[in-house]
Amino acid sequence: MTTEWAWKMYLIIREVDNTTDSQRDFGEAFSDNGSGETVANEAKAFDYSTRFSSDGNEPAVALAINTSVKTNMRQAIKDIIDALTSARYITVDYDTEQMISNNFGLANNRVVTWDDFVGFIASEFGLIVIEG
Amino acid sequence: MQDLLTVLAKPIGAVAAAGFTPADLASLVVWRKADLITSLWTDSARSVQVASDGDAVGAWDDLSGSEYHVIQSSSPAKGTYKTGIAGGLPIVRYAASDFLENLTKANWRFLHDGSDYTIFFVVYLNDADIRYGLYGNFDGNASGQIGTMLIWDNRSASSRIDRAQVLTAKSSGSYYLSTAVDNTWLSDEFGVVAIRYENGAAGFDLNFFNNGGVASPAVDDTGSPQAGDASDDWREGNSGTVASLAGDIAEVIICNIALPDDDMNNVGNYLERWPLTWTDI
Repeated sequence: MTTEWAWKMYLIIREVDNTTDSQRDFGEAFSDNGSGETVANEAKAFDYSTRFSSDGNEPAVALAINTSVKTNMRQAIKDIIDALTSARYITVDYDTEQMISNNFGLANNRVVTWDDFVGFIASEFGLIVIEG
Repeated sequence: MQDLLTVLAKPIGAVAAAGFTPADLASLVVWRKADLITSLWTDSARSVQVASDGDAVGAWDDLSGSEYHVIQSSSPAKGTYKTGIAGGLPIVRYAASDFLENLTKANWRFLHDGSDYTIFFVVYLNDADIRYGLYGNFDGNASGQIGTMLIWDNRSASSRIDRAQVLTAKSSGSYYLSTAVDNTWLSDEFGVVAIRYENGAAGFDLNFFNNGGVASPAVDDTGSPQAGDASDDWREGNSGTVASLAGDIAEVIICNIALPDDDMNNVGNYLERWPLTWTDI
């Protein structure tokens, strides 16, 4: 049997966009598409995110998530990201990490790991991971 | 498959007592193993069982009888079930920010009040230039955190190279009890990380064991452990800070005593069913 969680998405949004409304939207993107959890539970995602700032110190200015997704969750999440300022995503095949889609303007014929994604964020926004 | 010569090279007697399993330990508090698929669930309500390679892991049952199950109710922070990884056996994979937790704080008071404990993790750590957080349980007070967590720092900055840190119950003084394990910790392999905490009359001892052998190095402290602190959630795959695992967990065993060496070895040799070699203490 093949899992439905066939893709991974790497997401980053600005901390200022981590609002109640956007948390609900993300929660619905998972819950309404068969995650098996409630919207409220899914809305906690950014509480556990990787945090970024320009100098590596608090406060965080951006939050990123590395998550498995089902195929039918992808478009809902992409729509949310595209509606936010300076938000980015990359979708990859779970096992091969071959990139399927992104809004960096990158060609898709490459393998992209989470570390690569963090590198893209550093290159484009000058943000680095906070390690508390 | 474990190398036959490695098995044959072990000294006589360096095997687990016949038929030994962690269930034989009276002090057993937690036992999780990834190769029992019926103990894994895709949802935090434990209603839909994991069935396939790549399924999300939203709950992982405790087999000890304590029912200290761990869950994750937010899909982006769930682990992932992967088959055929550890000598052909399945594991639970944790990406950055993934963790499973037990939210009943009272369950974990023994990790806060100066009681003895022993923790085993069969884990795979890659060699990335990051800081790993394997497990965590502390009260989060910035000025003097109480509880226990294990961080393995693999960052290349000179002050941070190859240092494992266990935070444990203490009344005052050092923020962490830590020990340098220069280039001896697990790297790009499965192995057993074991932590034994013993509170004696002269203070407490904290030992790390990396696939058994000699505790490396011991940490002794004459400070008194602090009793009566509030406990906190238990997390696996995350220290409770932003340090997370980004690796695989195959088995977790926790006891509420400082296990004697014989029992440490029984557990260690039992865990050799994973692709690792335990050296008797």
